[in-house]
Amino acid sequence: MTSPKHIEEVAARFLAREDRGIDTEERERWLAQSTAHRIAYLRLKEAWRHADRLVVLKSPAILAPNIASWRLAGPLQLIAAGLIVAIMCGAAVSFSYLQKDRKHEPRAQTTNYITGIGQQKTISLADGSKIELDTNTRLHTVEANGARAVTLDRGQAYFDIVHDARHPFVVTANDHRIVDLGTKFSVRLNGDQIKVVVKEGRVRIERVDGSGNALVANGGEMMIAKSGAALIVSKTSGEINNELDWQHGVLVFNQETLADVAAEFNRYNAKQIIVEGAARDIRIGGSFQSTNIDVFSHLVEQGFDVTVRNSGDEVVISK
Amino acid sequence: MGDSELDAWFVREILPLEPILVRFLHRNWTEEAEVADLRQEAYVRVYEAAAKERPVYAKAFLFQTVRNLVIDRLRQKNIVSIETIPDFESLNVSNDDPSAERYVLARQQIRLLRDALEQLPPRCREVVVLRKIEGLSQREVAERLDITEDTVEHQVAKGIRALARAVYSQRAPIVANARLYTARTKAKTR
Repeated sequence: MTSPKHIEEVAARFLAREDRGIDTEERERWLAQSTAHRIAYLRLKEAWRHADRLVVLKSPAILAPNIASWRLAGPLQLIAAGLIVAIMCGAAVSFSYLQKDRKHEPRAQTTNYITGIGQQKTISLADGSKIELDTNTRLHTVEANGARAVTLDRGQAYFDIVHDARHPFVVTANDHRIVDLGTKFSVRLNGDQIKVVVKEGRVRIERVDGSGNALVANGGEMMIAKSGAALIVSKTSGEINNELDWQHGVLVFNQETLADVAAEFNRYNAKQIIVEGAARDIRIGGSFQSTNIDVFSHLVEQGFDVTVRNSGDEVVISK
Repeated sequence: MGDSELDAWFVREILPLEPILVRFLHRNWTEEAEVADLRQEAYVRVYEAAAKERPVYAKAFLFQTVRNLVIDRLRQKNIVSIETIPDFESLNVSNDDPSAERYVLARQQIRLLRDALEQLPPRCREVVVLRKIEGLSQREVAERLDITEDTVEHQVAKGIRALARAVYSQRAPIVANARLYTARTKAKTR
């Protein structure tokens, strides 16, 4: 077998050449030659995709100290200086736009959108972007100086954003800011926890107060942030769709405890499900209409050894 | 020839296990120089087996494969002794949480990537910065730096390999922390 190092060199060369759209036939031939070739290629390609996260170094807080510490030789110094100026200008622009926003706050147009329990609503914005509000959700949009900003006060919303690099779309939720880099994503607030599910494209997530590093989540990833810690999880497209199925009035569960499932149903219905005792730990899966509690509790009663009491304004499941 | 679904499976289920795999090999294989070779061989076996039938538990399957591979190699070398019998028990490969190792603490990964970026030779770093941070195409990078596209390509290839080393070198505690964190938040979500 050829040495892994040599194979990796060739794979890296093909990958680097891909950008120019040349040698694709040669690459396919090489990949078909052996599994080792194919794997080396997949491995580097995945790493290079991860390196997309480096784009967060563009944010001014991180960039300044790092670029300054880079010692570049000869003519490159000039180019680097140009690059820094260009980036700093970008940073200055986005800073001043934020400040302006604050200064003119009294004149900014604020619009509130609210959904009650069990309601869903779609908002169409002037730029073609769409926001879908889930049950029991409140958000407000702020339009000032061409900036596009939304604050999620409670609940969950899905954003299908028409990207405009000059006017990034910004969603604020608690102490985090989610900046679209051309994308479809949802944001959910649950107490002090923020969950962002990215269906397509990319978002940048940063702390409102500028502390900590910014993160980038790509399509097919989910980010959970809570009390200072943040985690990015890769998901299959099926899992992402399950996360977003609420848009169609469907709740999807995959081996989750009855206690968790009830909490999810309770977000959508005035009539509450209460799960008591050992029944809380029963795990179930399946997809259900979010507003049809009676069918759900009936199925649970038939499928498990539990007692269900339906009193009109609540359902108590116990074991 | 390519099976994009198989490729996606491999990228999603197997590659994130590389830090654990490599750590295991370093602990159980005395010839440092052969670790990359063993890793490649293990990947090839897993990929080819998965082409016929996808294993249900990727992690368990990968480590079963590595175990067989290590035993085969030891047999070839005819040097099976007490010391070289791999420490399989320490792996604690369980099936109950197949997705845990897919979790990556993103802040940590950015730090690793940034460190790797800063250690690149100047020209290589410059090219990677323009490609990945500024988002320029290879052609635009060539124009900006006034160098040929072949040179850009050469530097990108070098950068890809260096950053891959950073991506696949996450340390164990990170995974452990991430798992702890999800365990805690899982109880509160939904």
